[in-house]
Amino acid sequence: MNTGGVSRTQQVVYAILGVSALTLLSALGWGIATGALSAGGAAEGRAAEGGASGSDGGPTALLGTSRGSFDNGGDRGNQGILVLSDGGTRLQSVHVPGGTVAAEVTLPGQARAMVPTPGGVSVWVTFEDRGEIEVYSTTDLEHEATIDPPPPENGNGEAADGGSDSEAGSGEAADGGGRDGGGGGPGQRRGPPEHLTFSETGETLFVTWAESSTISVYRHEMRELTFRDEIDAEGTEGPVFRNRRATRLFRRDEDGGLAVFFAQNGQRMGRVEGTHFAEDPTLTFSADYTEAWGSTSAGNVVGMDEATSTAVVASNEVAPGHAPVLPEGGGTAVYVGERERGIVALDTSGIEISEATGGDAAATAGDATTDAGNEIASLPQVQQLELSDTAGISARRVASLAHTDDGALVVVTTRGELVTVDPSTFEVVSVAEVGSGDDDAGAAGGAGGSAGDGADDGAAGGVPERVVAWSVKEDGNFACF
Amino acid sequence: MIIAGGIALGLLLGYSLQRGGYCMNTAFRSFYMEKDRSLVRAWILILVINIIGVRLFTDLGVLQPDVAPFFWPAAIVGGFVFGAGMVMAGGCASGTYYRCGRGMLGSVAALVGFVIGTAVIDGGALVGIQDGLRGATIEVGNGDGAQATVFALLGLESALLRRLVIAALAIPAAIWAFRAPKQRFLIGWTWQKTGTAVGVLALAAWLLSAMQGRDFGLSFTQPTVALTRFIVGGDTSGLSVASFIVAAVPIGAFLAAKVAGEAVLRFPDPKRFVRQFGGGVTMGAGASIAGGCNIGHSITGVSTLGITAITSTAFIILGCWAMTWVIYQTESKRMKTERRTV
Repeated sequence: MNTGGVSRTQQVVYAILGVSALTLLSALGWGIATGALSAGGAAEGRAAEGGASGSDGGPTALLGTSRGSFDNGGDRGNQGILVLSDGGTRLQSVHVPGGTVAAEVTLPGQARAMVPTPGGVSVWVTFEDRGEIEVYSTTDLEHEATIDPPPPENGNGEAADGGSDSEAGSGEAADGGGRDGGGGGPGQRRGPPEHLTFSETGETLFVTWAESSTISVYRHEMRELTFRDEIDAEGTEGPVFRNRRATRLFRRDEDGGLAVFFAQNGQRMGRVEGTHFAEDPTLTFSADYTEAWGSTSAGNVVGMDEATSTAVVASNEVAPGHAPVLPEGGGTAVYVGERERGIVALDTSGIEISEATGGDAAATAGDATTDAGNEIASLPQVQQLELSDTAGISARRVASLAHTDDGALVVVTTRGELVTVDPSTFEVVSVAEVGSGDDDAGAAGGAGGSAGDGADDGAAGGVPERVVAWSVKEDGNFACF
Repeated sequence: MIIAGGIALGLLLGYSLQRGGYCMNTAFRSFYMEKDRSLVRAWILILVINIIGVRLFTDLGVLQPDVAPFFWPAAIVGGFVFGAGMVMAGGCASGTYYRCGRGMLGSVAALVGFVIGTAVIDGGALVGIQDGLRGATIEVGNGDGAQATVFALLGLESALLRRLVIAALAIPAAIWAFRAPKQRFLIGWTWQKTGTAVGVLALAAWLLSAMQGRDFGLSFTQPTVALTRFIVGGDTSGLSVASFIVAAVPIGAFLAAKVAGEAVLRFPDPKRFVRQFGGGVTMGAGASIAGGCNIGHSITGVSTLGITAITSTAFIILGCWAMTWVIYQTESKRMKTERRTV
C-alpha cells in the first residue's frame, strides 16, 4: 500500500485530516464567537445542538422554588412569572415586563411548591395534601398532566415505571399508594412530594417528601418518571439545590448549614459551615454556577463558592427569613430585597468567597462584625431603590426578584405589584398589578423567594405567596420542554 | 458544530494515537520492564500541557472541571483491576480503540469485552460492586465538601499558590521528559510529536466539552457506555461530545494505518484472542468501578489534580506491573518446560 511518494490514499487521508483540523478549529472558533467559550461566563450560550445541555445565560435558579431562569436566546413573548396566591390555591401567569395577567387557574389543592421545567414550557406544582404533581403550561396555564411519582417497590431502589395521567393522551398513571404517611429513610412511606429540582436538561428530577428526609431521584423523559435511586439525607429538610451538572446536591440540615451530597451515589460529602439558613431557604446560582447567593435566618446576605463549598456571610442586614437575593448576570453584584428600603445592589466583585473564608475574611473585606470565621464586613452598596418613594408603588417590601431576557430587573412586591427596573440606572420602568392587587397584605415566607413575615404589610389574601420566573428556551436538548 | 468538532477531534486523535503508537499499557509497562521510556515521556508531556491548560482556562472562567469525590476503595480496586485487564487485553482503552482501526482483531475482541465489562458494572447486573466500593469516601480538605483535589488536600485556596503548585509539578516533569536519551525504537512519530499532538487534542476536548456544558475532558469509559446504550436501546441521554470523539478514533487510526500501509486484518492465535477478550471485560469492569480509565483518570482527571484520578492511576500502574509479572512468570515457566521437553 505504501508506494512511496504521496499516493492517492495519502492524499485522501491528508485531505480528511486537514478538513478535520479545520472543523475542530472552526468549532472552537464558533464557541468563542457565540460566547460558549468565554472568560467568566462559560455557561453562557451553552445551550447547544445534539445532546447538549441547555444552560442558562442569566442567573440560574437551582430549583423551581427559586427564581427560575431567563435565557438570552429566548423570545421575549415567551417569558413571564408565575404567581401563587389565595393561600396557594390560585395560580396566575403574568407576562413580563408588561405585567399583563395572561392566565389564571384555581388549583385542586393548596400548593406546596411550583417549578418550571428547564425548557420553560410547563410548570409542575406539588400540594400540601396530594400525592400527585399537577402540570400546567406556563403561558396559558392549561392543565397538561397529572403525574404520580412512582414509589420504589422496596427499599432497595427497584425501579417502578410511573407516568403521567396526561390529558394530551400519553402515559399512564402509576399507583400512587404508599406515600400517605410515615417518615424515615429510603424506601419507606412518606407524605406527598414537596420540593422538585430538575437537572439542567430535565433528565433527572430530585423529589423531596413531606414527613421524610429522603431525596428520591427519578429519570425523567417527557413527563414520564422512572424511579432511579434514593438518597438518605437524614437530618436535612427543605428544597434541594444542585450545581450545574447536578453532580452535587445541597440541602439545609437541622443546624442551618448545608449538607453536600454526591448525587451519583448519595454519599454525604461534607457540609457548608459558618452560616445558618432559614427553613425552606432560597439559594440562587450565578450564571456561571461558580457562586450561589441567598440569605440567612438572621437576615444577612450569604454567598457560597460552588467548587469549595465554602460560604461567607456579609453583615448587610436584609429582611430576616426569606429576603430575595439575586446575583447579577455579570457576577459582580447581587440584588437584595431589603426590609425597609426596597432593593439594593451590593458589589461582590471584591470578594473571592473561597479566599475570604477563615482567618483571611476580615483582611479581605474589612473589619469583621462578628466572631464567626465566615463573616465578613458589609458588601458595598452601589445602587438603591426606595419602593415606597416611587409613584404607583404602595409596598415597601419585595416578594421576589428576577431578570428578564433583555436584562431588566423585575421586582414583585408583597402587595402584588410588578415593578420593572432598569438595572443600569436603578430607575423604575413600569409598574403593573399582579395577584388581586387589592389586599393590603404581606407574603408568607416561602421557597419561591417570597418575603418574610409580612407583618408590616398586612394579612394574607390575594397577594403573591410564591413567585417563580420562567422563560421558554429556544435551544437545548431538554427531557421535557 | 460541536458534533462535527467532536468527530474531527476523534479523527485527529485516532490518527495521532496510531502514528505515535501511543498506548499507556506499553508506557506503564516500560517503567518496569524496559529501558526505553519514550511513551512515558509522551504521557508526561500530555499531562504538562493539560495541567497548565486546564488551570489556565479554569482561572479564566472558561472551564469548571468536575472532580470525583475520593471514593478510595473504588479508585484502588478499580484502578488495579483495570491495570491488570489492559495487560491481558494487549492495550489500554484508547490503545484498544485505535488498534481496532488498524485491523487488529484481538483488539476488536478486547473492545467487545470492554463494552460488556462496562455494561455489567455500570448500571448492569453487578452494579452493586460499583455502589459498594464507591460508598466509602474520604473528605479531602476541611470537611466542607470541597472538590477532592491536591489543592484541597494542601489547603490551598489562593489562586497564586495553586499556580505555584502547578509550576512545581510541571517544570520538573518537563525537564525530566526533555532530558531524554534518543528514542530507541521509532516507527512512527517521536514521543515529543505524539505527546504534543495528544496533549493539545486532549485540551481541545476540554474546550469542546465546555461548550456543551460538560465539565470534563477526554474520556473513553462513560462515552463507551453511552454509545452502547444508544446503539442497543436508542438511549441518547448519555451521549455527549466525548461519544463522538470515541466513535471517530478507530476511523482516524484506520486512516493513519492506511497511509502507512499498516491497515491489515490480523488474527491472533485463539488463546491470545480469548485472553484479549477476557482482558477487555476485566478492563471495562475496572474502569467502571474506578470511574475512569487510562484517559479519564490518567490524563483528564490527573490534569485537574484530582485525588481520585491520581490514586486510580497509581493503581492502574500497579495492576499493570502485577499482571505483567504474572504473565512473564507463566511464560518463562512454559518456555522452560518446552525446552526440557525438546
